[in-house]
Amino acid sequence: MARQIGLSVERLEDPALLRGQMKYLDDLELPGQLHVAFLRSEHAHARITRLDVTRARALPGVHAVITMEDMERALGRVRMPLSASPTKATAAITPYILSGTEVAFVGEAIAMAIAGSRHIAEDAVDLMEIEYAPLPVIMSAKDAVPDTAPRVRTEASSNVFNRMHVNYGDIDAAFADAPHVFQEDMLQHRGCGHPMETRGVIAEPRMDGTMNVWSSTQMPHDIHQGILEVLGLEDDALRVITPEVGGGFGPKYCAYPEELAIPAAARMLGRTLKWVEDRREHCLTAVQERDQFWSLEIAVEADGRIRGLRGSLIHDQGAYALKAVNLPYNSATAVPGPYMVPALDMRVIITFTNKVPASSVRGAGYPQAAFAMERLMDLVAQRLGLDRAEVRRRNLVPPEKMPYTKPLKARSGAPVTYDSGDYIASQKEALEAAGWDGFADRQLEARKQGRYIGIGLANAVKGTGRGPFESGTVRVNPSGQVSIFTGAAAMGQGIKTTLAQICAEQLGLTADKVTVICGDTVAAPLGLGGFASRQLVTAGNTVLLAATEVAQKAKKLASHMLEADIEDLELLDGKVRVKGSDVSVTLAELARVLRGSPGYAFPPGLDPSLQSDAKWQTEALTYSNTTHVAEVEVDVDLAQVKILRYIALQDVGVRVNPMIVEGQIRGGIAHGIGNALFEQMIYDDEGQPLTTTFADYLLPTAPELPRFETLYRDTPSPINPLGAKGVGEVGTIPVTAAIISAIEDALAPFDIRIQQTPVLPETLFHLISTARARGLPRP
Amino acid sequence: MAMADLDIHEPGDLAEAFCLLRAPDGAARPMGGGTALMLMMKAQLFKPSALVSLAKVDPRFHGVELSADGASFSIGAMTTFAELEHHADLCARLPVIAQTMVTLANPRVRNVATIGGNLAHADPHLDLPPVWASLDAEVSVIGPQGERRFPVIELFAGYYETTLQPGELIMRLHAPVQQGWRRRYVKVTTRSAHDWPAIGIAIGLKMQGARCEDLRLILSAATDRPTRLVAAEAVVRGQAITDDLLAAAGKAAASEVHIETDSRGSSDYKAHLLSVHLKRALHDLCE
Ligand SMILES: Cc1cc2nc3c(=O)[nH]c(=O)nc-3n(C[C@H](O)[C@H](O)[C@H](O)COP(=O)(O)OP(=O)(O)OC[C@H]3O[C@@H](n4cnc5c(N)ncnc54)[C@H](O)[C@@H]3O)c2cc1C
Repeated sequence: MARQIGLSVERLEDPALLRGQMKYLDDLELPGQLHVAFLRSEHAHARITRLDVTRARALPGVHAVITMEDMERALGRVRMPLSASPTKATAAITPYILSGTEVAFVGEAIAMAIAGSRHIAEDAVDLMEIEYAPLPVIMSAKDAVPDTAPRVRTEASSNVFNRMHVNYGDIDAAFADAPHVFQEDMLQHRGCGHPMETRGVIAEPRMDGTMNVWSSTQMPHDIHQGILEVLGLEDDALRVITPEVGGGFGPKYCAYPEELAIPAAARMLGRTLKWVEDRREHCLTAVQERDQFWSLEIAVEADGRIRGLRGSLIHDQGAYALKAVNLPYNSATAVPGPYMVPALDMRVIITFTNKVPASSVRGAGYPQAAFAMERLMDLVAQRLGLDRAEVRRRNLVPPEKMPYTKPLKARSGAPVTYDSGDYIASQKEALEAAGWDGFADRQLEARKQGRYIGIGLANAVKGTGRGPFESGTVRVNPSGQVSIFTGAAAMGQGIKTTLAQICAEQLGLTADKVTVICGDTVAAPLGLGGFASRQLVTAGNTVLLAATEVAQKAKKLASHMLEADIEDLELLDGKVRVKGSDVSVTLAELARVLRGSPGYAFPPGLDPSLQSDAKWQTEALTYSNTTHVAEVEVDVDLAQVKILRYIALQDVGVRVNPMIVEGQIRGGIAHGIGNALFEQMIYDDEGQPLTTTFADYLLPTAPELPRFETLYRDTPSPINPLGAKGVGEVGTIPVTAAIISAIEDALAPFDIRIQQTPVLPETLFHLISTARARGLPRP
Repeated sequence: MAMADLDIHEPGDLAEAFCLLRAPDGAARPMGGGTALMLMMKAQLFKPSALVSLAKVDPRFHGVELSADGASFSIGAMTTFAELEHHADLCARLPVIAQTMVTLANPRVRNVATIGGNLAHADPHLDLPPVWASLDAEVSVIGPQGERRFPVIELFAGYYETTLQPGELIMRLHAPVQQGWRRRYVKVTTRSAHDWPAIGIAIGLKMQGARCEDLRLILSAATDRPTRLVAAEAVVRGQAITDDLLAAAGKAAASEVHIETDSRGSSDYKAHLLSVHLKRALHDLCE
């Protein structure tokens, strides 16, 4: 069997990308398509007192204007279903397909104009006459909590959406006679996902009553279910296709009102409709992670070992929930991270605010958990006069305790079990690469020259490969080319190449002989899609199983045809061959035989098609772990941070394609750097978003990024046949914690503590000025 | 984002251009490279019904010439940034222009944006206007009423506002080449490198031994137009350069202008950045 797993084969996706031949949603032009533009709320909270679309309807070139009333008449409902949830929404929490009476965030869709061109559709939107009666606006999750607070939506009985209590162990005992207790409040902000390609939808109603929908999404099967429910279609009457997707990062994990409004309108009109979100719309309407207010207390022994952790977390959900709200649960349960925490007590409050709904962005609440925990580790070290790395080492789950089960439950109900990895060795290796031990001397030397350099570290674990399954069919075609059909979603991350490699290795081929078809509910009727760093683990193992079965079947047939014993056969170069001879038969030939010929029987024990269908299932997550070390320099006169070095060690199990893994890690770190130093979605007090262009919402670009020094430990996951762990989000998780720890270390002479993300220069300027006013740094 | 229908004209002489531009309410706009216009039109900030390209109106809108005595450059308003950036004579004699171009937009924008459009746009965040001002450059403008010439710093009247009269066009820019001056443009971004500057400082410095003979300090981005820092200049002019003097100059600069708070920093922070950068840049230029 020729090795394919572990090779950095060139990505199958790239030739089309490099030639500009990749087809994204906006590249699709369907015959007779009309274009859609949305009237969106200009207020963060208001009653709609008048909406007159007469002039818009009269504009030449406009085919229709659709309002909530029209929607309700056609669909018999106005609200979105709660997608990807095992239960239906019981309370009024989902957005409206179109809003007609009250709006609860700027950008909420109110009406749609449908015209022969996008230009005319937008002009029609300008002609819609709308009047609002403003209602009180709640912008901070903290302000939303008191019962006396005005409601975010007048229909809601409370602004508090949910309260959760995550706890285990005897928390009171842990704190009662603890030698030390330390407390910290933190405000964590995470902005938007900002895939390069924004969202977009095309809906094509067909003469026979069926419909095709294209959407730039991570979740075609979810969208499929949502449209079926709302339009009352039968399963086979709808096909959802995702063309090439130019990045997901979380915002495309949700099903949005536009994804239902456009198919619904297409059906009303019997016309193909197309809508591509512009960047401003994306800033207004795509989910963000937003704000979490943390308040934590940690009880430790005299030597820094953790006794218990307790606190609260207020999560800003925005105006509605697009799907079951898991993000704050992720944060609360992930706080202990790679450490042994004997008792935990976290109270979570999720509140509505007058902002666009929140949901996950790469990392999905884990970066906040890591930041909270790592800040506490630094605090313990500082107060006890211990080295920051040493405090961590004393608390890390040691390798001899693996697999390590926490008294916590994952969403599946299965216990949280860290399956593998040597966290202590990981930290040690990363610190050595970073020169941690010699750093204090370098720091002193630098300070003598007036330079403030600092080093910081952060550990994290990430549960990856969320189940319960992913689908996959492997089929050898009569040409010898192999096709994979899977419910996994390709969104630019290279999953097609990786799955092709796994399949090719089983079939004695190279990856380029495998074509992967993703994102088509007809090609793969069952599937979950792309989120939670899950697809390599779930789809990868499915493809491994299916391809192994296909290989077996090929050998079985070949043993008949070649009159050889199965044990003597091997798959190599597209053939099944008798080992050590040149007697062979090609996979192509075998596939042709198994397609059948009229009237001729198959060899005994063989059924049609050289194909296999698998659905590898899992309840457990497999945990990747990581240690990052950042070295920064702070120009204390300008309050500017420069990242000098960035060392990132990951243990992501078997790396099927190391080059793709490296790309994911670097991208993940860049994302984290954005969260640490640049990205902030800002609203004014009235709920108007102020950062709706890339000139205002700053993403990190090449000049801001250091050279990444990446290291890997490849501990195979013991809980799946491939030994794989997820990688997509792993790089992001410890970044804010590592960088801010480094900034704080650089500014040690100023005695500054940083309790927030992001840290913009302005914030540092005030911290430094305040310290200077206190006479720091002392000469 | 859609743009309204519009006509694009390319008149072959000035008379025709003036005629086309006479449309009421600024409905017709002159166009240089169109880079600023397109952004503002897409953002629906204005919706002209016609654009009047200046590409062919008059040969005087084109060309970069060094005067026979080498004392000054004369630059046509339609000269692109890229032409200046790669102009050997200009790079040799006014290297501050090429230095400024390195962090100005990107090659695609520099290939089409014009010197005239850049001045007329009058966005206080632009990098070149303070540099021209620090060179004591002048502009020639031409309108239906004739031609006039005045210092470039007098062109700017506020945010996106100039002192151009209706129908007037920027035709040429005149930049003296003074011997013995050291120059630098400091673009201060507080966030990522592609951010608009929080402040810009264009500096010209002429030394005589350890003493500053003369200098120009122009602040941009933090104020509504490029602003000469008269008080800071006065602190330094004629003095021997010392750390204390530079600190005093920084302080003077920070207190002589009114700086607005915006997303790139509070007025306090920007004033602080101004004093630190001014001090550092003058220090470097003295080396
Ligand atoms: C992506 C991008 C990045 C940028 N980054 C930077 C940057 O880093 N630093 C920076 O300084 N700038 C930057 N800019 C702005 C850029 O400098 C301006 O857009 C450009 O200088 C405008 O020149 P133009 O010839 O394209 O003007 P146009 O868009 O043609 O015109 C601008 C204005 O001037 C008027 N006008 C044009 N020519 C004349 C004339 N001869 N007489 C009278 N009025 C005239 C027009 O009617 C219009 O009002 C950036 C722009 C873009 C698009």
